[in-house]
Amino acid sequence: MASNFSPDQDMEGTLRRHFAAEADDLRAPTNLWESLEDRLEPHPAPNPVTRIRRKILAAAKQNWLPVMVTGGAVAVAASAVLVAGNLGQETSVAEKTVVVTEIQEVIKEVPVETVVTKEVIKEVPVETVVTREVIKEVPVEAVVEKVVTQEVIKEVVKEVEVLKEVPVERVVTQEVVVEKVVEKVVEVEKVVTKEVIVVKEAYSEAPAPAATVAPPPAASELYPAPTAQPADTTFQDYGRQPYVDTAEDAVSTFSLDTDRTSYQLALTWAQQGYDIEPDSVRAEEWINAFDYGYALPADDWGFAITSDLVAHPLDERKHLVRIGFQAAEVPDDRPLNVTLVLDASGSMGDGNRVDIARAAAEAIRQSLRPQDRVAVVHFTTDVIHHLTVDHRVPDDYSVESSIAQLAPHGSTNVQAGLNLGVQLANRARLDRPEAYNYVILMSDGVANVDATNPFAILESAYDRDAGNPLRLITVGVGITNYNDVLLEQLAQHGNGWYRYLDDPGQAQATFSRANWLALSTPFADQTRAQVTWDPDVVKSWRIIGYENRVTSDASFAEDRKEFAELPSGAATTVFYEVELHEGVLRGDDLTLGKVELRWVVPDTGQSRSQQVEVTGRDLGFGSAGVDPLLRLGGIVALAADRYSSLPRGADDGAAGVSSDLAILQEELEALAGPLGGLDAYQDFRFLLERMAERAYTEAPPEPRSGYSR
Amino acid sequence: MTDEQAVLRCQDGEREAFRHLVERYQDVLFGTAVLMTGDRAQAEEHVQEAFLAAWRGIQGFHSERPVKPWLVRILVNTVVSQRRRRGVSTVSLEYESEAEDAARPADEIEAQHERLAIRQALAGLNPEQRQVVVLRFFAGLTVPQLAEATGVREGTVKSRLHRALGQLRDQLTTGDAREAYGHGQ
Repeated sequence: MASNFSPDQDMEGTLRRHFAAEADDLRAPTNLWESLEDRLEPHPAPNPVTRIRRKILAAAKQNWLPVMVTGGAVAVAASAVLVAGNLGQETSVAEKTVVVTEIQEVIKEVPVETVVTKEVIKEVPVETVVTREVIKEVPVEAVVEKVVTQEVIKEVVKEVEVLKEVPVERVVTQEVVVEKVVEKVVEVEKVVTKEVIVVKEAYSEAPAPAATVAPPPAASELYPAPTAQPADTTFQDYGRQPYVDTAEDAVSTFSLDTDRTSYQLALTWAQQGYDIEPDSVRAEEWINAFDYGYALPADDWGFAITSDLVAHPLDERKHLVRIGFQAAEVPDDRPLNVTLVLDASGSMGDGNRVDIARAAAEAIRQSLRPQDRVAVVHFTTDVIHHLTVDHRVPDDYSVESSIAQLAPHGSTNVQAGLNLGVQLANRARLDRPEAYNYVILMSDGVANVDATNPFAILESAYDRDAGNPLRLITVGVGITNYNDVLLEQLAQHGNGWYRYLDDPGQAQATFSRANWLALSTPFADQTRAQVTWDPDVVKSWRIIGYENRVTSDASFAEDRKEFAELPSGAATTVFYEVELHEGVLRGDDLTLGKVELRWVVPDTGQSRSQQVEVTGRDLGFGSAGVDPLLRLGGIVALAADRYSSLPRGADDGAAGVSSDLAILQEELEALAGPLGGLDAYQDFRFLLERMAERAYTEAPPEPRSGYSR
Repeated sequence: MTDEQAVLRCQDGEREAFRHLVERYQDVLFGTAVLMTGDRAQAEEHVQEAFLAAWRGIQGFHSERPVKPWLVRILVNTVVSQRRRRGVSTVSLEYESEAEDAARPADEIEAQHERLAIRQALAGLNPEQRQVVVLRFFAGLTVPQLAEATGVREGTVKSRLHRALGQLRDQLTTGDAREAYGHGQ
């Protein structure tokens, strides 16, 4: 063979030469672009995330990473924040959070093999753009004191002799950059606070707020694959309370809670075919959604406190203790000042939210008495002034008309709405010191302008009159794009309570005149309880739910705003899981410890306290002597508690949750006889079925092998 | 303007930037299409379709990746899907050469003969073999790029190339592919 090459290589050479010779004959027609151009469709605007990704990557590629002199990390962080900030007011918190997350991802892709000196890192203004080449050549000490722009650097380069070497004190790694971005973003945007607001990832249906300027891209363009879950809802997992050894700590202190929103949300979700979010489950609100038929106290002075002990349906070594607090029903004809703060933002246009809010507002108006006064505030990006009505008699036409005109537009500035609401309410309070003062916020909680965190919002609407406080009631509407945390926390810290409504009929029923009269008559403010277990009887204990209501034992003595406000006739229930010492059970009534309740009387500001023993007689969970409603409550409490631990699961992991729920389903079936006729029983039965299904998909119960380990 | 800058600008909706890409790659796409189909009119249609698809899809393209293999892949898909839709069309062996009629000196006439021979040999390949040869030696794709463009494994690309080259060689030496193929040596 003449060639040193393989036959294939020879042939390759032949072909390459051949094609090179043919190239002239294979040229495209010169007018190709002209005929193509007309056929190009206009591009849809790229989504902001893509745009940011491109900008940063392009910057990196062009060697002028917006990095370097500032210590890289900070500058990238700042530009990320800038970009996120520039997304504008019409972009929701959730969307911004996604963008920020995206930026963090992007930054991981950016080559940050930058070297920065210590001096540089210290203090340099952020709006710096410097090329990599420049930085290698510039004596950094010379420029740190100035605002470094490209022009400045060029000047400096001209003047100063080129340094051979820049002292290398620190290498900025990608991790540092990402970390800085997170810090900066949190600090500057206040999008994500430590304590609150966890934004879930699903954005499929997030409706674009009807923006006044340029509408943001529809969420469906922005984010992939619609999920089967409501989009853009905010819940918080408050963790679980642990078992506590009584010998170490015998005292359990918590704020009471009459909310039942978590349960109503779950039921609504399940009825509409969604999975129940484990983070949305607050066991105490599930427990308190049910009426246990407690007897009213003998007089108006305080509460009827009852306790029960029953075997634990899931764990033969443990027991359940139920303590019920039933407030007295007191007639109260003090007048009311009511300020309705109505969310008229774009997100309220979703589904029937506006209809629900309108129905609730109208029901409240109709339930008010002639001595009451009502004001109306509509808010979007700002307050809608022409619809604002200051306090008037409830059947004033302007009030009715303002409520009727509630309609969605604009973005959401809860703070602006509350600010004005509080101003009006304050004025009314001064005019009529004898009245109770309610500010009622109706919203989906999707605040996206100004403060979006409940504490910031509360701060601006802070009420300093402890004697006759403003009571902030939050009424939540909507499923997708719903911020549970904001509304719950606003009410908890605003002397009020929180309700969730899912249709106009429910709105009318909740605020019917009879209900409204009870709900609007405060019975006990700042109500908290302290259980002290007898260490000789109770070996260990664990409170079910109340994760964000549990408070330090020391704070029990203090009257604090964040403790619960209970209306007249309200009932609250708490369940404990306890382990008793061996041998204490003798079939007699057993004293397990004591419970003390403290509260402030709304009318007088007087502090009160009431104490009883926690007693019970040990009975099997399914035995005939046990009140079916106690059993139902136990099942509800345990189901909510276990389910809320998904997807991790509690002690035995998700498989444990799955088998616990299966057992609870059987226990619930056993109650069909006495309770089957109740709507509440049937609703919960359906809910538990859905929960069990979900837990099963997470992890089926582990089959028993029959073998020892 | 680098390809990357052009892509970034296209992603912002700039048509001029796209024109830049079109003018840079139209020849290689057109040539590839002609060589694959043997039909200039069809080839032009394919190239137009491919560029339109590229414009539509450029939002999803990572600007740091090389543009040519991406465009070639789109073109290949366009050609192949057309072929499937229309059924296997007979590839005309003699795509007309625009410079054909020019007066030529003798050595050029010989060169012309060789070119025609190679064309003929190429036309004798099955479409898949012709495709790998064209993409490799005309469009200048690497084997991995070729694998991606044609959606087969690199090993398959290599063996196709090897067999195609063997067949071309046999045909060019014996002048009869059918005889040479499978009986070679």
